Amino acid sequence: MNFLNKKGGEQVMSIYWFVIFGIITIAVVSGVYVFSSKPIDIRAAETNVLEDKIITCIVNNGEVSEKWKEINGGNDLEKICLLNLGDLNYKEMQYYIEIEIGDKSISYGDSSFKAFCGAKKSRNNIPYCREKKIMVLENDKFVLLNLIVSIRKVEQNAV
Amino acid sequence: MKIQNKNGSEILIGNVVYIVIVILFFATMFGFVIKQSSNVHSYEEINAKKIALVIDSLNQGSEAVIDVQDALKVNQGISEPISINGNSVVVKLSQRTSYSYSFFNANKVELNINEGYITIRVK
Repeated sequence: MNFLNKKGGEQVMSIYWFVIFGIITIAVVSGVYVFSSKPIDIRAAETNVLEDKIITCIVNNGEVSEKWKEINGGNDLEKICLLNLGDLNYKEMQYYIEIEIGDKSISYGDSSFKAFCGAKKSRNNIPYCREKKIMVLENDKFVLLNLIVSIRKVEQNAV
Repeated sequence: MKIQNKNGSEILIGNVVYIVIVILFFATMFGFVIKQSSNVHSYEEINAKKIALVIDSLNQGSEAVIDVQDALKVNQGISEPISINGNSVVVKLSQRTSYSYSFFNANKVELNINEGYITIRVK
């Protein structure tokens, strides 16, 4: 296209400039919103601390403690290990804990989270789950302690 | 000074207006990015989660001190910006916003804010 009228050409250029400004504005605003609206996911750190709390509670110097014998369910786990797994921000339970030492095992919380354990992490908006296996002494014999801790809290960590 | 060349002055004014618009545009964009990166809600979320994690990791009878000066700088006149409600840490830095995050430590928790630092005691 040949612009014979220079002034007209400048006006056409100014429209292009506004279009470019508009594109830059949309790109910057959407980029900033996408970045700043993403919550910080602390569930991995939370899981780590919860695992430590449970292991410190039921294992003493590498040996299964007396407390483990007293724990027969989730409520015992909360009471004996001084945990409060309720959450005012959610109606449903946000945790799942499964402890297995030798023949005895207990589980507490929403067992549906267990399905996400060991799964390849393809999405963030699913419960975070981690499995820990350590050897402990029980009646002078080495037994496997299998601990599964899963935390949901998707809305606050991974939307 | 008398401008004899009308065409030259028009080009000059046009260029000045153009440069001013470009500067204003990029200044607005820069201001927007800065404002978004330091908005109150992100400070509330970061501090609530940080304090909840510290409470979780503390054992009975221990205490920790956390620097919360960044949050208190953006506090919009809230008298108790960081508090405990049940087993949740509530950070409220403005009248319209607040953020709470739960912790699982069942011990009694006490918070004390002093000169930009918060002391957390687990009893």
